[in-house]
Amino acid sequence: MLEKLVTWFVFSVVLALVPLAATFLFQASRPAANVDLAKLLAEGELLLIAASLCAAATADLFTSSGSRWRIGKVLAGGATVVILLFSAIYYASVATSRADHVALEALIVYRTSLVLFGSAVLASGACAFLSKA
Amino acid sequence: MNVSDIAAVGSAIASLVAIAAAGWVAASKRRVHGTGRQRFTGATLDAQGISFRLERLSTELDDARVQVKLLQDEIDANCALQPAETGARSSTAG
Repeated sequence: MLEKLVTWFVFSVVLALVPLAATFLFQASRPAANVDLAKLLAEGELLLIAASLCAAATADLFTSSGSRWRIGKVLAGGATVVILLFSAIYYASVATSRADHVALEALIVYRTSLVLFGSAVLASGACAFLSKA
Repeated sequence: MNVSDIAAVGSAIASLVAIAAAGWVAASKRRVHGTGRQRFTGATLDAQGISFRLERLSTELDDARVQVKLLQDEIDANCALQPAETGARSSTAG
């Protein structure tokens, strides 16, 4: 069980964050760099990662063998799908606004992205736990 | 409330639901199967029981060996007697 959770955390969560971390590092290594994590995350990529985490965890949960604890699995899977939808819709909103050159409050997008990503990690972790239950 | 607030609050509630479901399943599993320590203690007791039974079977096997040895000695003694009796009978007949 712990092995499954650690594998999920390393290969789903940490590795999914590598592109963002690399971008941050490249920005920071530029001469006269004006690095701002909030600005970087306000682009909405964290929302995409959250959505993909939720999708993978839900697929893992619903294709897992064993018919026990169905109510718990349905609850966790449903909640994860809800987070997936929120992330996808909010990313679509952010991306559309950017495409239309509509000014967005970067701090609000940053905070909402963090909340959605945190929720996605928690819900996906619950799904990863339940897929082995 | 704007879109970001709704998304943040909704996702937070959904994650709480998912965590609660996982916690409920974990608690139910613990209630049904016992904790890891309880399972370990149960397995240790099982192993001790098996060890005790093996020891008892080993003692019974030793007793059986002794009985077999006694029977074998008795058979050997009978076999040693029989040729003498047979020889005596044949000399009488002759």
